[in-house]
Amino acid sequence: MELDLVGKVAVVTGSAGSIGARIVMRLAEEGCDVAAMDFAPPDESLARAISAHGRRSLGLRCDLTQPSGVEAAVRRVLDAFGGIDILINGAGVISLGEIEEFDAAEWDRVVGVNLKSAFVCSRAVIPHLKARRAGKIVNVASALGHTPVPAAGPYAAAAAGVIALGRTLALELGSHRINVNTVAPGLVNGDSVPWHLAFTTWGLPGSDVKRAGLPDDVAKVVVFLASSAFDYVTGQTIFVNSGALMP
Amino acid sequence: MSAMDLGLRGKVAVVTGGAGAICGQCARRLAEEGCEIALVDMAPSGGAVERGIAESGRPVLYARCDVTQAADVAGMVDRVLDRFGVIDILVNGAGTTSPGLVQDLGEAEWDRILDINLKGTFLCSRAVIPHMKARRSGTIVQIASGLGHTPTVPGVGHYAAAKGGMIALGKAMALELAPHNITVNSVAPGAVDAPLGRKDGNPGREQRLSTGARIPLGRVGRPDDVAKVVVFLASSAAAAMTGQTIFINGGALLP
Repeated sequence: MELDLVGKVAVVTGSAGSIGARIVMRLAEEGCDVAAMDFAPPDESLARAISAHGRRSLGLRCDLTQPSGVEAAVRRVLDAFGGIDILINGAGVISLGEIEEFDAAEWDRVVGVNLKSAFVCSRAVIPHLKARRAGKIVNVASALGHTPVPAAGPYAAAAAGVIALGRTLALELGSHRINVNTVAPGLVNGDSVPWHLAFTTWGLPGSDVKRAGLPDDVAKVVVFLASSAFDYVTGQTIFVNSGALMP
Repeated sequence: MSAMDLGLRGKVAVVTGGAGAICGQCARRLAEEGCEIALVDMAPSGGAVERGIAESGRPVLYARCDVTQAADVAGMVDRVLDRFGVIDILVNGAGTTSPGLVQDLGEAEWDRILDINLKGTFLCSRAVIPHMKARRSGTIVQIASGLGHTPTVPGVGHYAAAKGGMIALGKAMALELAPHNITVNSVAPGAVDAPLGRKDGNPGREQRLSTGARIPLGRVGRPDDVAKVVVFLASSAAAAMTGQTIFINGGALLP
């Protein structure tokens, strides 16, 4: 099936994370030029792997919650690639603790990285998608944004916010032929969610889950959501969790 | 073609309702990805869908079958296994609808719609599951409907109940079959410009256009919009998804 990703320009935030890095590589393999944005410095090995696929890449370090820095980064993407077709809002951070233990600064940090960054980056990119009269925005949220577990309140709230932001954007941008969807992964290897609590809360024994997800499980779904295969899907949340949660 | 390996080459896919517009397109798309196709329907022949797949050089079998009759379904599965040896993918797509307010629905019409959409899904799944379990591998994709989650127009009570039942049945099967490495997912299309969709309170071009104008993406769906997502769910790209429902509606319903 033709995914129509060859020659497209994708901006991926959270590219230093395990899921974000896989998304960058999968999109490059499908023929995208990729701008990898993160709070962390660019990963030179990722850039080399992308150029090995014959695609261009641009590593951009910026505070994804600060509009001025993000807008400057977006200008650099436009200078380098001439336009933007796809935005993946992949930046995220989790922080564990019960709500009464969180101070306001930590709440702001978690909600900032997960939710505000999606707002700031979307707002900066939308005019350029509109200019092309087509585009895809894919958010990476979490199953916890639909069904929380104890002790990850700010993260769950932010993920739920990302889902709602995505739905809003889908309604606002549909007439511009811009699709906005959200992927909600469950347990992914290497992250630090207290999943024993998830299994208890969701009422499913861990043994029913084949295995923890891999970053690539999420990346493959993200690629499809960014592709023409999902041209008529917008405003939806796609759960990738090996059956741990079936909302 | 995608650079990603979708793992569909040489797979055997059974597509019920395969002579219809949406499932016929699913069958064509799966054949393009390298699947061998068993088309299952009530019509005397597989018609243009069967001819198209055969002309493309992919193996195709037409198995006429009433999916509401267990004996018929068992015979269909035997024919598929005789021809192809295995079943890797089942697309539960056989479905139909009719307009009618609940208070006006005859019992026979209720039974007919529930039987074709829901009981047929149960019977076909039940008949195929042992063959998937034996190989510890398989994928079931169901063509449900957005109406099975949220009925948005009057007069679809029986159809909505059947499609809601399909979604729930799919989740139940996903839970039961996860230990056997078999995934079960559903798609839930919105308004689709196809004969069934037109019968479903969307008859003319004008009405289709006015429906489309209310949809965020500005148009009603096409069979291929559904088929491409079905291919994704049948592929290894969706291997970590089971028990899920993907709504394909241009943003008309955001559940």
